[in-house]
Amino acid sequence: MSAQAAMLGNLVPAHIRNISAYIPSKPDDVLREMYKCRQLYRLNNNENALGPTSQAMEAIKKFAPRTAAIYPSGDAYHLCHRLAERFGHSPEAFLVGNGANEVIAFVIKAFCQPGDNIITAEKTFAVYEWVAEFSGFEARLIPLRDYGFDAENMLRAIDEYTKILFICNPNNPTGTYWSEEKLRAFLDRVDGRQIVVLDEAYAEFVEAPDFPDGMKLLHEYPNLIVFRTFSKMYGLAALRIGYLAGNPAVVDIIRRTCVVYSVNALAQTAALATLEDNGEHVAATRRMVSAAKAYLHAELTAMGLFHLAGEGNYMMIRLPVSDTMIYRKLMQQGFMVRTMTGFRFPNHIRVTMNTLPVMEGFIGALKSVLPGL
Amino acid sequence: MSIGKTVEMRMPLLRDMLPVAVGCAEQTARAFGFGKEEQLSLSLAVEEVFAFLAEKANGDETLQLAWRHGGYYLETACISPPRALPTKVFNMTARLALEDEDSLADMGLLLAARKVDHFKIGREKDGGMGIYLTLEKRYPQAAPESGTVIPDSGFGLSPHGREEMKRFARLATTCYRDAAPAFCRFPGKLVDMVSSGEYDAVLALDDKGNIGGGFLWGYNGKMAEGYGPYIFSGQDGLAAVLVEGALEKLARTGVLCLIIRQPTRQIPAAYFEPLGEFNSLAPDGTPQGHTALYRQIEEDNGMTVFTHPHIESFIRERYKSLALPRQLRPTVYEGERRLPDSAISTHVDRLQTTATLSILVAGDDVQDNLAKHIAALRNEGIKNIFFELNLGKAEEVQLVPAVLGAGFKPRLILPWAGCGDLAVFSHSGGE
Repeated sequence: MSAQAAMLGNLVPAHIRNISAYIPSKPDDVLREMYKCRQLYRLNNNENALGPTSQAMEAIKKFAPRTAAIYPSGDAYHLCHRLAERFGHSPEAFLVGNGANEVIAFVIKAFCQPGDNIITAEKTFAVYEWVAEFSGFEARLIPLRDYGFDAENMLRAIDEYTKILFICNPNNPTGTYWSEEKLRAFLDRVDGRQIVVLDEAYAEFVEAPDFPDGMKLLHEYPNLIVFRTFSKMYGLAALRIGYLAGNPAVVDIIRRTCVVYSVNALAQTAALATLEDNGEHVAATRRMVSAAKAYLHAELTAMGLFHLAGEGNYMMIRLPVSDTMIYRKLMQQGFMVRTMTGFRFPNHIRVTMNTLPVMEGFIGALKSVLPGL
Repeated sequence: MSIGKTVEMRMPLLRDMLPVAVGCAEQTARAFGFGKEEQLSLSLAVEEVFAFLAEKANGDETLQLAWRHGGYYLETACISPPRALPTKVFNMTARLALEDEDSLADMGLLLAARKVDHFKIGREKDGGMGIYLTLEKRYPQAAPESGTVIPDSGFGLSPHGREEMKRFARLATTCYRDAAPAFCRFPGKLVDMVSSGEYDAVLALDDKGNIGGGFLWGYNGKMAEGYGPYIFSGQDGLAAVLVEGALEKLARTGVLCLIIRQPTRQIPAAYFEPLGEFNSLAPDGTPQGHTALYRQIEEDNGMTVFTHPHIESFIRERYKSLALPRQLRPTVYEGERRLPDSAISTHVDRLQTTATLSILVAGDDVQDNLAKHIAALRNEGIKNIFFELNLGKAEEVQLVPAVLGAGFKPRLILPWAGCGDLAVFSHSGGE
């Protein structure tokens, strides 16, 4: 500690002083150079290997470069109207953000003040916890039960300072989900006293008939907010665009905290075009994911490796060795997976489903780097 | 609670101001709960540093003083305008020649260094010079825990309070003797170390409050250094439960890795990678082998490290074995200007009769300086001497020939343990 640093440190709130910055992975070209691999298959971020919809790709191609000089619609006007038509809500029920991560921050900022807390699972998507903590609010983390969100203990953790409950449905990384019946029972017991956020980032991958459609529940539960993204199923991760939907009165409150003009014009254009898809893209992606899961399930079972093949375009695998060591060894062979120690699942990796040849390559690489297999 | 709180002052660097600095040092130590002996030590050290700096000041300079309460220690930072420091006085081997006036002028700093537990110097980002004095709180040593029967089942990870932590410290010392870290002999100190946030622990308790085991770690920049797991119960799988609990606690803290230099025999190997083996002598002189273990917490996306031709094959082999992505940049000393006198930091663990040396200031005399340190440590009965080299600092890596020349051999690389990775050398005389 230097005296100067100590003095500057006084400007920093305690909740910021005690956390570390998230350091994203380096760009592919740097990683290829570092790990000395010629190609790099990204099986780490749950991106769609089939890419965007054909309509979105066409719209991106047609995007006039000169229009880059013009500010985008500050509130994604056309996209909100199109989403309203599609889901049967008013345009005021939607708020578009620079990826779903941004709308998480909007919601927390809108409802929490010093002393408040949010509740979510201990082993789920990290951003709810991070945003709460770097904003100075307590994140109450409830252990999973049978790899799924534990409704009962989440309800028990609520107190007078609880403002928001975050549910990741299906859960990233375990792939477990709450059925419509379970979700309704939970919402009934919350009884409108807190905001319930239902993160449906992977909803489009789910084929289970009892999986709830949060968009349809919005009319019944005004305290419900649904998150959706164009980054996963719709393959627009590079453009960073996601949205939330909720009761217009609630969304009006959230809108007061949002950064307008944060969603660029190309992202809005591509997202609008995505909504023109007639279902072919979703069907093709689901076929790819299903084939990859079936193949991986058979291979991993034969290898004696415990794995969770729930919903979503990913699978979590338990390894007999350190996940971060296997990450480095797989990187040398050109396969980038997500280590799960950071999700509080030591010795697990999460793998994004891809085309069969890539999955075959991954299994070959995994066999070569796991000792004794 | 005042842990983590800071007291700061800026004052003219004039001799007349000395009582103000000394008085503030003493009052701060008292306000932060340090005893009379520690208050006196700190005020004497600050007096010597202030007098030394004021003597060399030009009359209109300012000194910044800051005291930070670390719970089990008090750190004093003295930041002054840049000037050449007599680096040799920072060596534990420094001696004064009474007939030499220059040497006598430096006596104050030497005395200050002896009054506190740790003493270091550094260059600030604004060009200023920092002298840092760390004084540790004194704690009573615990009596061994005797007659405790620990059940063979019923243990799980559980939140713990101060009393559980103190009992854990006593059990670790009783069951593991010299293999437990020295700070466990002072249960109150361990409680304060954990309260400070610089250390953390997971404990396995049963519903009667018995302690089945525990695992400790300290935060050190991007690395956490682990101790254990210490197991007191015969319950199967308890070590894995503790290690998983520790890893889950370390996740999302920003720490990149966990290193255990001397794991206990109960360590669950599946969670770790071996970093390499080294030998040492136990306090009774028995030779013992160790395998240091490594556990990365976050994904490793690589970095550049410096290497010297004399250790390049060792470095390459270690990185290959660990599959760590590193770009090696060779460096050698080519006559560029550097200080004549080096300063070497020495950390001594008398319980383990082990000393660890590292470079505080790179200087021309480093090989002689290392030789003096080794002789002094051997003379004090220290059986194991290690040297740590920052592979992220070219000026340190350029000293490799001197380090090898002083009898050290490279043994391990500790990833992310210093400014980049650390290469650990052991002195061949101790094995």
